Amino acid sequence: MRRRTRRSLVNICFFAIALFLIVYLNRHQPNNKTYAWTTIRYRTTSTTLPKTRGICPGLAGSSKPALVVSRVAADGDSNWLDALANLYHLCVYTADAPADIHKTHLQVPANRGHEAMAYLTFLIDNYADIPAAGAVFVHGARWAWHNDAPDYDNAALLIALNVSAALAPSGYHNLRCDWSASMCSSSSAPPQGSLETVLSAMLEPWNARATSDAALPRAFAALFGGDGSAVGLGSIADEYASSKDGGRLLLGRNDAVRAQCCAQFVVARNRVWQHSRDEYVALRQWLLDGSSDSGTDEHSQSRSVAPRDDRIAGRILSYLWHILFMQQGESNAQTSSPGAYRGVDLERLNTLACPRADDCYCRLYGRCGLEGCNTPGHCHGQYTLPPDFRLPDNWMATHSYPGPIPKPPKQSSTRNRKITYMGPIREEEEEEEDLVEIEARTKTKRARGLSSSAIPSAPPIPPPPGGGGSFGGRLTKDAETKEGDENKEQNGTEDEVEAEVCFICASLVVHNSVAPCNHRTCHICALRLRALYKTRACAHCRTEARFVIFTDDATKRYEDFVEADFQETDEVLGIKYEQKEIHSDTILLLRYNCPDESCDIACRGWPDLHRHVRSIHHKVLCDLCTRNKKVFTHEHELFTQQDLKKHEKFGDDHPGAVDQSGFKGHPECGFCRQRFYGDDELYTHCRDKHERCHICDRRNPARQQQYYVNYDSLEQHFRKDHFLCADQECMDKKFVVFESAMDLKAHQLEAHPNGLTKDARRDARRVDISAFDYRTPHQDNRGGRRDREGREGRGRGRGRDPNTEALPQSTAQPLRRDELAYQRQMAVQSAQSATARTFDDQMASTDAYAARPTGRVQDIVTAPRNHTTTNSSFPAIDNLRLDSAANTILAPAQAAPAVTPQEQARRLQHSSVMDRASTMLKYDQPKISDFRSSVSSYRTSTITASQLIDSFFSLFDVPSADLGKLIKELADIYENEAKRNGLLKAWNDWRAINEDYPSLPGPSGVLPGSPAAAAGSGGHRVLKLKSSTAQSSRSAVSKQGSWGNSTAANPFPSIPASSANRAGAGRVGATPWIAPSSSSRPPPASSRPLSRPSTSGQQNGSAADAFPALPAAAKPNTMIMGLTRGTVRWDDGRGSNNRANPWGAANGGSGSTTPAAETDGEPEAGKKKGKGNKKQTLYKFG
Amino acid sequence: MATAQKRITKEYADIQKKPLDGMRISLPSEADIHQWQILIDGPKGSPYEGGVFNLHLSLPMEYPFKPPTLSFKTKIYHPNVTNDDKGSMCLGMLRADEWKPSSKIDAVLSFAQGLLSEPQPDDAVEGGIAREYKENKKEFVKNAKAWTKQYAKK
Repeated sequence: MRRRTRRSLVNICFFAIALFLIVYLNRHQPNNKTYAWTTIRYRTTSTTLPKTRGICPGLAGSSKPALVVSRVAADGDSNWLDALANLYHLCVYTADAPADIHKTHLQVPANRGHEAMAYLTFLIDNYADIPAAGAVFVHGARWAWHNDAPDYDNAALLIALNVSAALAPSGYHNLRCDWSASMCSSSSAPPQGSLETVLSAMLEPWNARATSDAALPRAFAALFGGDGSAVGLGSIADEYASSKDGGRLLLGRNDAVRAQCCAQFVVARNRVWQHSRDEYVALRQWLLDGSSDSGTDEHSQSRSVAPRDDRIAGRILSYLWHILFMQQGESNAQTSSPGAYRGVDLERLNTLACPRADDCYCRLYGRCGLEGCNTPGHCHGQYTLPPDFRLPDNWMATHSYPGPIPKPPKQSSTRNRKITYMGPIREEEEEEEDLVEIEARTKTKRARGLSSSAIPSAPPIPPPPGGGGSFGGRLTKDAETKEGDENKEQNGTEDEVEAEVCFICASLVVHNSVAPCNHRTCHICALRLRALYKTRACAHCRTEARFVIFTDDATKRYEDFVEADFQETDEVLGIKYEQKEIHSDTILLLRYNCPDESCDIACRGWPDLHRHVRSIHHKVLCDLCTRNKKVFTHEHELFTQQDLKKHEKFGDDHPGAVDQSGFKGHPECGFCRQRFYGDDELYTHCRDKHERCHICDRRNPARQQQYYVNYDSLEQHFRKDHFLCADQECMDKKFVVFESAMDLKAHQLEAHPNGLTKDARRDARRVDISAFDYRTPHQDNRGGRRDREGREGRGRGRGRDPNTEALPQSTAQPLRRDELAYQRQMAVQSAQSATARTFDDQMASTDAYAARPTGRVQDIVTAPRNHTTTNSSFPAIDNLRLDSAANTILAPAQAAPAVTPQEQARRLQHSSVMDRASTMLKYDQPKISDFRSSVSSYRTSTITASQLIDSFFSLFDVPSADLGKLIKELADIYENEAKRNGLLKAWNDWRAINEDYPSLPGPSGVLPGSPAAAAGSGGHRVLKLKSSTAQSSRSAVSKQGSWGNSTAANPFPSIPASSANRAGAGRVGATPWIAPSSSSRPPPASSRPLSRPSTSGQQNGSAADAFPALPAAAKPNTMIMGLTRGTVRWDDGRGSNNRANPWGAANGGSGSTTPAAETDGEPEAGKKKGKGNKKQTLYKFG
Repeated sequence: MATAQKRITKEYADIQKKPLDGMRISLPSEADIHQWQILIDGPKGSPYEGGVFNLHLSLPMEYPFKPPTLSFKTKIYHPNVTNDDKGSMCLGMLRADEWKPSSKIDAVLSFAQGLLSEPQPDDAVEGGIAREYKENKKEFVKNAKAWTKQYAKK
């Protein structure tokens, strides 16, 4: 029990002690945050003071601010400072230089306290001569991790530094703006005197930052308190006891001295003079006394002198400068006597010492309006803390270059040649100056008493071919003035003075490029064309030249150069250099130069450059631009990540900026989320990687291109909106899809006859015309149709497998006589077309009429126009193709009379083919004879069709579409159908392989055996397979609600025929089309006026009567019927926009007709129809 | 790209200094010198007389190494101008394979103007209009006049 009590007591005691400690250590700090850090009161123990040996020569009268550089030998070359000599009075102290006791200039007493020794020495030894403009204190290394520039280049910073602006607020400004590694951010830096700091200093004695932070409160107290003994170690009371001037000395545990790091700053003279020279001496002594070789008793001084460790001492001092120099308020401004103001308001000081980064960048370096300054201490893209507070070891190596690269605005006089050169491309404004220099040089070189007016035969820049080009040749007046004073001495003749401007790029010519055509450009433009655009064509006249000459001679003609004139020759680029210098200038342009203006690095390649800009400049290049943009490497733009996104998405639109490029961003593929350089590249990608629906494209060529992500997706679309052949073989083949059910059926009959029963095949062959939309002149017909719809329903869906649904629907329908006849007719046609034959075979074929009921279906529909009788007039030339074929389906009785025009037509065809070929061959006789011989070799089967096509490709240099026309025409000439077929097939094969849409057949031509319209005097005949139109307008139909006009129960969609928009509804409406009564449902069929093809009227008794006339479809590009070799041609380019409402005033048409109906011919209908200037369309099932 | 801007600026200044007859050229946006707006008067004696046509000239970033594109913002009945909302104009000299960096914009515009006076049906983009122009000039003139009246009123 007793033991337990004792234990409890002990526990309580522990607890109490712990509690006390916690309370004590976290006790409330006095609110008084005023510190007596106004005067250095440290009293040195040293008896001797260093001699005055740190005088900065010439400082006394300097109007420029002093640039106090504290460097060590390890900082490397100090040449970089030379470029700053225009801006600053340089005072460079080399801390570790061997002591030269005889020198009184720029020496430091010891290498101690890092930069502080040099700074203090400067202040002490030049106290009276501090320039009125102030002084800038920096380190000796040009590249240092803490330099607040993306590339850590202090030279650039110092050039940009606006000293007066920096001094305006409080007479002192740290050169760093970014808060990283500083004490500014309370979250990242604990108060110096806090337990946390002390603890980490104890745990990590090697951590200079923690150690120095922990040592800082005492060091400050020692410096400002003066009496070393007053700051007893561990004494708590001394915090108050050591107070002087009504302020505290020792930093409170919860207080932090917030300041920018790294001790590079700018300070005003009056702020320096705020403290007496003795104070600076005392401060320096504090440093010196702390060093081991100071000769004083280390032990006794250990608590008040600077820590032995230079890292700690230096770092402590780096947090002292702003306390010394920063002016805290208006009241202080009036006090001029040193130490007169009382106390430092720490909170206020902290605020002043840590300005917002964006304000800082703007004030100091003119980088205003920065984006990405989301936190007070950081602006995105301006500065990134390098890992481990150090730059890569090779930084200096990769960045060191012989001369001062950065160009102080308008002041640099010491530019090396390279920079002067690069200027023109990088920067517009400086370009002129730079070029002027170069120009001046070239001029001198060129001063041979030649004035360009003296040699009129070879003007430096020829007038533009288009005439009126006063633009190029000579520089305008303003440029001349720009040349300015420096060139005055060279004003020999007026002509010489004028600098030349390149006609192409409107920039001053540095070196000339002369092409064999004696056209001149600047060498940059020539190089651009040759190296980037990969063209050897002259910029003026497009003449290709193997070599151009780069020369400084502005007048010498190409042919006047001899091989010996050339110092260098570049075979690859095709450039001969007259001077080595030009060669090196040119090579310079082609390097992987870093686009950064102040960076002179040339990388080994793109990856290297990408790496370089990322690591050094913390920027990125736009990958797409670097791959595609035709500019020299250094002309690319550097982006921050954010800017890059903006660049890709929206382009480089800087409202109000002068450098608008009109670039609107890189387009993105909506499927892949991948961006492409431009629309062309995106198009190529979509073409290669995604699918387009050729049917939809054809229906509406003007619409926006629409893509499907892959074939699967396209196939879904096919299923949904078109008629896809569901046969496995076709599915594997892909793209076996049709615009209409009829096409699909025809395809199925042709390609997959085995999959159908005999009945199904027969039924499939039937065309149920009740499905077609009979548009008759009078609206009241609609009623009848509607009735029918009502009865039959609108059940027919679309696009599904017709094998399952569509075909059986009509099987049960009893066939009317006329339908049966039609079927027979169809059979005949297919038999005919299935047989290879020439025109003369035709009669024989017709004999096979009933005997060949099977075979392929031929659905031929004619919409004849403007003709009277077939043989009454000579066929027009543009109808020839149709003509020959048309005769094949004419009645045998008419065959004989048609022979003569037939032959004439053939002759005309021949000549038209030859005409076309010669035009395409540009009347090149050898080529034409080549063409002839290839054609005849094909005729004699010496070569195959594909060889023929290959030979055409080598012969013709024309777009494949043009070649296609020729081949189609040529095919028509071949009387041997096998030849004709073979050629067309080979052509289609080629297209299938080489063109975008494999299933798309050629735009024109007639396949062998294809029936065509009879030749008419007007020559405008339309052969049309209505189904295509029907299908093609499906979507429009459903939108307009007129879909319902078609009979729902019918397996085939109704066919709109629509000359309407073009021909005018009134006229069409008056056309008494009568449909053949071939409907599967006789009552409705008879109840409506049936359309009657006008052909039948004129072609009495002929087999061709079987093909009812259908009005032309409005849609221009309904070219094909889905069968692979279906073809179409139209003669008329008009009316491409006319398909807006194909149904609107469409004539009722029929996809089928019967011989029985032929007596209903209405010739006047034909005449009326014929007036329209319509497309002639021929559809064909192959 | 500095090259393009410099050249374009120069050409623009030249054109402003020496304006082309029957043409007024301006920049829709002062900030973007790559987009020009051109108002062309229908040439005298052409069916377009009396109309004012608004054209848009777009100069690529790569100008003058790549050709500019010219389009009619005003609808026009012309064989060489597409009859869609783009109003693209087909000029031989503007085709990528025929473009010469030395061609100047004023030449392009003069050429466009010339095309108004004298359409080139053989180089047509609107086949129908070209055919009409060749075969039925009267009808063409009538249509072109009607369109001019309708769309290109002053």
